Amino acid sequence: MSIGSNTVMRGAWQDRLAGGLIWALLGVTLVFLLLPLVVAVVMSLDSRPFLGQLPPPSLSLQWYAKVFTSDYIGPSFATSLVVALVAVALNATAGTAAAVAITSGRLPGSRLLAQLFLSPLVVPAVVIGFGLLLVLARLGITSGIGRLMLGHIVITLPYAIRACMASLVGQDRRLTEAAAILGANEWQAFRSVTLPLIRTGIITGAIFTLAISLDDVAVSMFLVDRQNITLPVALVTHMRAAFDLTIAAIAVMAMVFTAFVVLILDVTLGIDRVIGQGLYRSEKENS
Amino acid sequence: MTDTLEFDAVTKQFGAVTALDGVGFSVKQGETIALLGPSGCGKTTILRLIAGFEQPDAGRVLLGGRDMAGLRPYQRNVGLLFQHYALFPHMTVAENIAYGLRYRGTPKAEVAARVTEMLRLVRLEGMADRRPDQLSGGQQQRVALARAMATRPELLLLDEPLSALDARLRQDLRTELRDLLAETGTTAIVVTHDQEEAMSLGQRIFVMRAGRILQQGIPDEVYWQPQDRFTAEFMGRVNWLDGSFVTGAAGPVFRTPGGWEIAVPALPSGQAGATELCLRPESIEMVGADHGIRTDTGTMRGVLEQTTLLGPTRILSVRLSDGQSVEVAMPNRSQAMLQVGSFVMLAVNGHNGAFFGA
Amino acid sequence: MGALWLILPGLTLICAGFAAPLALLARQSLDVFVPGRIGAVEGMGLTGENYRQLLTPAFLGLVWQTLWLGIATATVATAIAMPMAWAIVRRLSPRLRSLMLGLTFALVFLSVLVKIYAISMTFGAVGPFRPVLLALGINPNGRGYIEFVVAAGLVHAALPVAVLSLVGAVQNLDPRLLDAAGCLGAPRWRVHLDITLPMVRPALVSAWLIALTYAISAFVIPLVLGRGRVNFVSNMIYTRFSEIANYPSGAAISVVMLALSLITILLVARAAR
Ligand SMILES: Nc1ncnc2c1ncn2[C@@H]1O[C@H](COP(=O)(O)OP(=O)(O)OP(=O)(O)O)[C@@H](O)[C@H]1O
Ligand SMILES: [Mg+2]
Repeated sequence: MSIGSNTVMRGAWQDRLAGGLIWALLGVTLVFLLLPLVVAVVMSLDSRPFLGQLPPPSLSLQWYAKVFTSDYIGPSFATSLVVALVAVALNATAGTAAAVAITSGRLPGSRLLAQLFLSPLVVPAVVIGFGLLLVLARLGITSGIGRLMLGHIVITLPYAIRACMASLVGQDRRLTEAAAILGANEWQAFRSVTLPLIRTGIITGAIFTLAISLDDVAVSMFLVDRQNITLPVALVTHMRAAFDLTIAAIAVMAMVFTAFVVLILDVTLGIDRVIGQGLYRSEKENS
Repeated sequence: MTDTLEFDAVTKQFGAVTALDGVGFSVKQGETIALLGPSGCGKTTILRLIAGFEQPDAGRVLLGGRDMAGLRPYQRNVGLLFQHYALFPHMTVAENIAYGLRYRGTPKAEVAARVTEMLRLVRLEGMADRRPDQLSGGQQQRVALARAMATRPELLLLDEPLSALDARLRQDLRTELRDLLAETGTTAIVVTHDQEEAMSLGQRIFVMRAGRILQQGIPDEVYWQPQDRFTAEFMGRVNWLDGSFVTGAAGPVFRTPGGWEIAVPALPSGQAGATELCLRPESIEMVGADHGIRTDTGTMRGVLEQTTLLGPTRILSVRLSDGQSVEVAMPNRSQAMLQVGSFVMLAVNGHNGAFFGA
Repeated sequence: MGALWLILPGLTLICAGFAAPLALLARQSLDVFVPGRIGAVEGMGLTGENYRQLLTPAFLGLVWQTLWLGIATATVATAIAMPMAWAIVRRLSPRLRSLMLGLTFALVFLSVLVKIYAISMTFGAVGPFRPVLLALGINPNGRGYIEFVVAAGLVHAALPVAVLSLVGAVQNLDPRLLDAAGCLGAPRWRVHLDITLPMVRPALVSAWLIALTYAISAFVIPLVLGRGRVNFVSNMIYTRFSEIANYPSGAAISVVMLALSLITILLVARAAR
């Protein structure tokens, strides 16, 4: 049988067309994802005191200076930081303990418990925030930073527990048993064997906690009071009130901070390693 | 008549790795050749170049005399059986086999007929509606074969078709595969790192190493007359005897440092200075206990050091009295006289030997 | 007994901060509304009035708006994320691949506030595209355009997450299956339809579901980008609290919203099976 009779050049041009269209789509998507960030950077450097057309006639750092002299940014950032750190600390302790208890297999109904701990993930944050407000109001707690802390712990705890459980489930129970046979008591076995192994889980949970807590608006909106306002809530209020390019400066600082954190993660943990290389070589067609 | 496949001085590089280094060979219509070589020597790369998943960095690939440069896999009429089958897990056996026909505009009725025919050929009637994960390893292998052959490819490429199976099944399917290829008159390239498989399936064998073809020829030729040490060792157990070639009273002989003489065929010109004789274990025979009788041409003496049972044959390791060690293959008929440490007498047939060290 | 002590602090937190609020929401949604008062008034009994009041075209329109924009953005995000994950895993050189993965990672972690602020400046009524919009005859203050900007914000937030969750699935797809199909005569685009999509379907569904639940419970994105013209159900809960202090009605809306997202998840999970 000859080649020509069976296989013609069928399909080649559709292939090239589809390929081209998809690359074009990806290009447009990349622009869509990055252009707003570029615009924010450019606007944050605007030297004009008002919001004008792009590009700005000249550049200045005035908005960055205003970040540090503003009367609301500093205090609200401090509040955010305190709330986030408290959430990280509590998740790392109470959350890790709960994850260890659930995966230990010594608790009846551990599957149900796991579902209870993860269920805040499927409930809209606004609903949690509003419900918390009602509970706290009923208890007569109508102000104080504690309300924010509780709210942030509730929405971040599932992430911390999930990360911890993931690293615990992958762990061989025989390791702790080996430690026990070698003479370690439960706490010593935990410290010397389990903890080092779930460290990545705890760190992952802490990163998620920080990222979510520092960015939350939906829950915090209900729980802030005059003395305790988080930075995102303050920013949203200002965003809606007036067009102030100080926020652009803060946005750029947040971008730099995020890029920095991701870079550190890449150097220390290796993003490629976290995501994994997969089972197969990349298919590099040079046609 | 043009060869079905011509592989013309092909070089292929992956970054710093040279996977193929100027490889050339051709395959005639209806012929089955075996590509044999250790892991990583470039066997799969050759198949991927023929199938069109890779393009050569230099050289040409011609199918039926036509240069394949720039043609996509689906524009070539080549069947490929993948190393681990790569059956589509979400399709039934029949859908897997019919897949290639869908894109060749084969009419529906003919597709069904062809699927039935292929199922019969690979003896899987009644399994049409199973999914790959409901099949045994051997059945999966046969589905993969049916899928690759269903389009009646001009050339069938088989990448380690039997390596994922256990030893028994492998032998059965080997015979089956050979008969199937012969029955359908398929032109095929079989890749393997198992020399038995290569010899039983290939009408010609190409021995590869590190991106080059070292030797090609019919199985007997490659087995008995290896042209280099690597091929000699890769094709099976082998003995290397040091010594020199001299012309004795009854013709050419090979003389070891200990004074043993082995009759050999006339040395090919250009190998007059050879210093090594390469002998397969089955060219040496143990003739009995050493009674210290005189030494004829073609006999050697030594101490039995070890025996290894391989089922039908037994391998004896004998330390010759000149210090060299040889392996002797012996049919596993009796266990008599196999006292380790005893002296034994060996009869050597030098006519199947190959010469090295010229 | 040790395990019980270990779980107790976490359990207390979840019960106090999550279970109790949900229970109270359900209870309070049945209370009679007395202006200016939080909590039930003694002796007034239970009422379905708060739910009945929601059966207005305005509220149903809001639910529709939330669902519609949610489904649209989840679909767009997943549809773009799939080829993107493919390109990152299979088509890019290792260096570019690392770069793109890092970028995607950074976009996942970048504050949503930063994204929507940047989007509101870029696509907003006074952004650099204003002349383009006017030239195209699009009113930057029109409802349709604002809906588009809200959708853009949702896609911007959901896309990187979807890409990351699909990268794993694409990586674990055996490329030999695609080679096999290509070798049997299927053109590249058919190979993707026949093999790739069916094989990554579970991952696609879960990516779509994550994007959808994210979108329909989104709060700050419609709050800022919607400019008060385009609202989601979540925004209405907040308005009930902040503007008219009608807690029982807010509770009823919360219950409806919770039901909405749970039903969505269950439906999709069932359809995927
Ligand atoms: N896509 C690729 N990228 C980089 N290197 C590759 C690629 N494909 C093959 N190689 C390299 O080329 C060489 C030959 O590989 P090939 O797969 O052809 O070996 P093989 O003979 O089939 O081995 P095996 O018996 O293990 O299957 C190896 O060193 C391999 O690492
Ligand atoms: Mg191979």
